[in-house]
Amino acid sequence: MARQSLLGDIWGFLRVRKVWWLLPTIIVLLLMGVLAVASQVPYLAPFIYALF
Amino acid sequence: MLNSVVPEPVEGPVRNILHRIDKGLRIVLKPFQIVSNFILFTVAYFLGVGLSSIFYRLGNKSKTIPPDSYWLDVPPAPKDRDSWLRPF
Amino acid sequence: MNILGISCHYHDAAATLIRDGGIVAAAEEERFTRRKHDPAFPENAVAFCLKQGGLDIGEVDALAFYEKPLIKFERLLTQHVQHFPRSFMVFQRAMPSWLTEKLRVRKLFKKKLGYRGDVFFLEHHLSHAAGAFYPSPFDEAAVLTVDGVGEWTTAAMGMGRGTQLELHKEIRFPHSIGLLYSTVTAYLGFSVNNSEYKVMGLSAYGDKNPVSNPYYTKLKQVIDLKPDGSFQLDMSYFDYEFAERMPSKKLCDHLGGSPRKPEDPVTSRHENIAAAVQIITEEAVIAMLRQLHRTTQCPNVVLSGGVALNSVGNGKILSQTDFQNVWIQPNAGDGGSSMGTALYVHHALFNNPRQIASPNHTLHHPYLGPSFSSDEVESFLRGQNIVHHRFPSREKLLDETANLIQSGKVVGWFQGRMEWGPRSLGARSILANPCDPNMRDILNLKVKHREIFRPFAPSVCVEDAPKYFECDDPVPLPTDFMLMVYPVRPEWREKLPAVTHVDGSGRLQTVRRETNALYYDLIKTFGGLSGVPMLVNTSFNIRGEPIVCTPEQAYRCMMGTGIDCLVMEDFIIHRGENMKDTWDSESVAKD
Repeated sequence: MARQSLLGDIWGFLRVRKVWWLLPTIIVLLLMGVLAVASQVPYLAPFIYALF
Repeated sequence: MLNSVVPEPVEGPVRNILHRIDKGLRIVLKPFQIVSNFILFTVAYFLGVGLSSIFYRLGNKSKTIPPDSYWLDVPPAPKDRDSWLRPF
Repeated sequence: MNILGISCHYHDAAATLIRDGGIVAAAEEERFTRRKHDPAFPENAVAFCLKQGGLDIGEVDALAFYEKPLIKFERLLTQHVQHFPRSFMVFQRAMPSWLTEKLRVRKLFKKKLGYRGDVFFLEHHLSHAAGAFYPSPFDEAAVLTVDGVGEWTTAAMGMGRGTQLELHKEIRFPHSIGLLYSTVTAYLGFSVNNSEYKVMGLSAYGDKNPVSNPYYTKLKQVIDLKPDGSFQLDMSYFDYEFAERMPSKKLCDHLGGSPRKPEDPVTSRHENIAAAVQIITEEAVIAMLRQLHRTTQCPNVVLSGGVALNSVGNGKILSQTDFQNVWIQPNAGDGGSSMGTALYVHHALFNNPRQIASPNHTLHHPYLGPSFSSDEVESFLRGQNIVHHRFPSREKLLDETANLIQSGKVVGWFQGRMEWGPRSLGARSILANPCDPNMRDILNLKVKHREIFRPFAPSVCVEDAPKYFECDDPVPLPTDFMLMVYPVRPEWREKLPAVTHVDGSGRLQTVRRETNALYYDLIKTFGGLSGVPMLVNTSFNIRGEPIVCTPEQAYRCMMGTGIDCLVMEDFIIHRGENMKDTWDSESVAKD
């Protein structure tokens, strides 16, 4: 069974994909995740799915 | 008719009240939440994405030799079943 | 072993339930929520699948998701990083849903479904490939998937043998045939991810000659297409990597002006641009298929991905490549990936053998959605005090329906299980007389409220198809799913005005008695009256709404439009005999 937590997934993802330059973005986003969007954000219908 | 096949969540009276309070709070706090999210994501963008873009530009030099074919090899699929349980 | 496959979060959310490799049920979420291309988590579709399978969620052995969310997230973040700071506004819009839902798929399954077992994640294009290969009638097949974009892949080639399926080559984002087509769709004033088929319909009006169509040369400058079908786009013509618009200013200038606004008239320039992108798409797909045949030497090919819904291009596959047999997933867009991902887990990961001869293992028909018994329909009609007529005899029902169509009536046809995929194929269809010269206008103005340039499709019994159409011999299986366009034979074009497109082509659906006996017999009964065993078959919906699912939706659709009567299981309901509903289809008709 693989890791089941989001943090575990992200750590595994960084390790396997070796995209370390994304680390600053991911760390800041995780902090934002804790601070900002604890409540539901309305589902945005993606107009251009290549960006969403 | 068919839409009714999705079971309604079982809600006791306490849970029901809490649910309504939660719903009310969400409506009241919505404008504040939009503003605060905008600020937080602005910080995230300029701090996180900004830093990442510096690292990215340092680490990735562009390669501009046009090849004969643009097809790229797909790495072989993993054989062990557990690796398919990963969302990456 | 019960496996639930799920696709969601971008467009066309869907669920599929398979049991021991057999397909039990499959449906798109939009049919239940009534929101076209609904991307939301498919709670209703899952509930339907479980109900159809007589299961509760605890009896599901494995759940399969059609993408690797973290790899898609990597691609999105990479776009933002590469285009910093131009991608700021899109970042603001896109990130919240990633943090709340898209990165937490397992948690979502637990919360929304109460599911606590294993979740398998497949790459997007592998799910497409599996959705094309495993339900096909081939033990071995070459596989091509082409769409907008998944995680990184935009097109892939591979090979399926028995239970195993592998992708070998791919094209990666931002270079994408699907996104090129969508960009031109946006430039022509149609909605991206929804109206690409309008561009395909419009292309028939344009100049299909690459030498004389000036926009062909202009669009060829945008793409570097190699003889082996691989390609790269010149990204200076596109903004979709970092902004909420697809064509760049450079592309607009290149094509001679700003994008068409939806309310603007369609001119010959727009028609020629549509024709140019259609030709280039066909060239690219045919080149990919030729390369795939060169490398695999396999006589069979299967296709999936949104571009595989391009029926005009599909009609040329067998005549322009060395493949002898073709099969296409009827729900070739992302919805169909829910089926592919479940089947891949069953066959490739758990190594369960395929049973091609077994009827529900190979997808012979698309009737996988909800059905309503005559008793349920009657209960609805009585409950709503709707005037109706019961026809317990099948023959009398068919005779009456054929007579109505022959007399020029537009008939709503609601029978059996709803179709899987974007096409109405004789379960939730609007039917009419293809020989009536006014029928195209009647359908467009009274019922469909759609652009005049879009053609209507004919349904014809499979053995009659070669008489009316210049189709491949034998008639390829994807024509059963309305996925191949062929020329109408010249001598029949004037006699079939409602279904012959401006370029003389028709997007036929072939009907087999073994997969839809009632519809087959209706076509034959109508043929007995009219001399032409063929029907106009268009989707049972108002423009802008999904195809109807329930008797109530079918009734409301009839009452709000110019549909004259509704044939629903054993019942015929005439609009004229019932009170006009207050529901006004004109007010809801949209793109």
